[in-house]
Amino acid sequence: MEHAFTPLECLLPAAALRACADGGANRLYHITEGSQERFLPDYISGDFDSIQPEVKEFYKVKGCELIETMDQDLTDFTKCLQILQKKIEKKGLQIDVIVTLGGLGGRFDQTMASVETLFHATNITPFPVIVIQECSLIYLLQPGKHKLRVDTGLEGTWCGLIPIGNSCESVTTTGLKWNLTNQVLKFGTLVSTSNTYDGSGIVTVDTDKPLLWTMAIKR
Amino acid sequence: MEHAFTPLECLLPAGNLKFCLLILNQPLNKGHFHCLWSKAALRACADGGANRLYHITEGSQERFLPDYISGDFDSIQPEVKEFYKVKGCELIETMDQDLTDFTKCLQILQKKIEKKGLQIDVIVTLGGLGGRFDQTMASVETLFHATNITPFPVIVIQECSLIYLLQPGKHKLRVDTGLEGTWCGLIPIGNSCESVTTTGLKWNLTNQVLKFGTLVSTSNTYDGSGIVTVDTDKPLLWTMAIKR
Repeated sequence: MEHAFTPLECLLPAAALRACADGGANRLYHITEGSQERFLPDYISGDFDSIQPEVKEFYKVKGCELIETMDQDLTDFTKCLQILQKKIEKKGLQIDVIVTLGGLGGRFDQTMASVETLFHATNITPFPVIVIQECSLIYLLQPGKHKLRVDTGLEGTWCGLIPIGNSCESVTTTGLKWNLTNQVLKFGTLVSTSNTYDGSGIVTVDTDKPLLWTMAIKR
Repeated sequence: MEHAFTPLECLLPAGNLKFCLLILNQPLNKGHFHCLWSKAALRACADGGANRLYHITEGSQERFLPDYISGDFDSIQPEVKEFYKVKGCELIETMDQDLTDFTKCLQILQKKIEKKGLQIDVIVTLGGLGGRFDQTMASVETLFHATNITPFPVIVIQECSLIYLLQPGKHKLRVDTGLEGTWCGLIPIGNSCESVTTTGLKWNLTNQVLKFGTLVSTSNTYDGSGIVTVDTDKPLLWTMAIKR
């Protein structure tokens, strides 16, 4: 069975649910400066060691749900995703994708923690989860066949396939400038970076193990 | 046999550490740059890294000339290339498209270290961890190849992050230079590790599996002893914060 997905489609329509993971609320507060009350998240979750007190107070007063999650074995991102899935189910929402803003810049360990959350996401939610920051997007492909539409017009030039947690014994692609045919992808052997598209607008990836897709978003 | 290493030693103002400096095509931290440039035994730029060097040394570029600039030259700006060429810097074009500019720059560096008979303790790479996600992963890939290119440890530094690939075996990392930030981590990039044991961390591991989807050590920190030991059965990426 082939999974069809358009990674950058999410940059077009509006969000059904909006949440912040801990210090993500600080970011929201600052980027909406002057009109914060028009940009209220449905909830803010986390262990609240990053959210600024005045930011927390502001959203609390405005009626946003604040959900404290003390589990130190899971990241704020993972916990936020768990809560999101519960709310999606509770509201009976039809969802195509979960879009995460941030998570790929700054601290290297936190970038890796974002990737780790994508691995856990398959057990948390049935919906695709993507992570976007600046010009980069990442999306974890589960074993099987995938068809990615890359013709939204928002795609930048580069893309890649990263065997981040495990080697892949057999990967086959179409739609890339440098395609793979039953090839091994493995750190120390071959990792597909600085790849690009063949112009067809579609990329297919057939992988035997989880494989991280990454692509550029046009500025 | 235990490998002993002090990751942030290269950033200490004093000392006898002998190292080479590679500059990649990423925004350069001025503090790191000046600290490292003056003490490096050899200095090189990988392609667009030359642009970064040129701009960060604006006004006195002629006092900061690299020993060589290598790459496929698809990123270096023509005026930058011309400037360094006129000043006598070696320009080495490497057309191999299967290897990144970083990997090729490292291969050339090793040859020069051997040719000059230099004693080197570490190869320090500036840049490579920010911006494009695929290029950050390419930097990690180069660290995997580095073990076949050079016997010297290779570290990558950008802004507040450092990464260093630990080969299978026992490692002793000194983290008492005073330049360490709070966080650190152990990332099983590329392969799972079946058995990892550590000391010196706030959250230590004892014969534990590290694997994406199971357990990855991030947002870890130190126990105050100033030493971290890591015993791993497979390659494992060490990452740590550099104080601002």
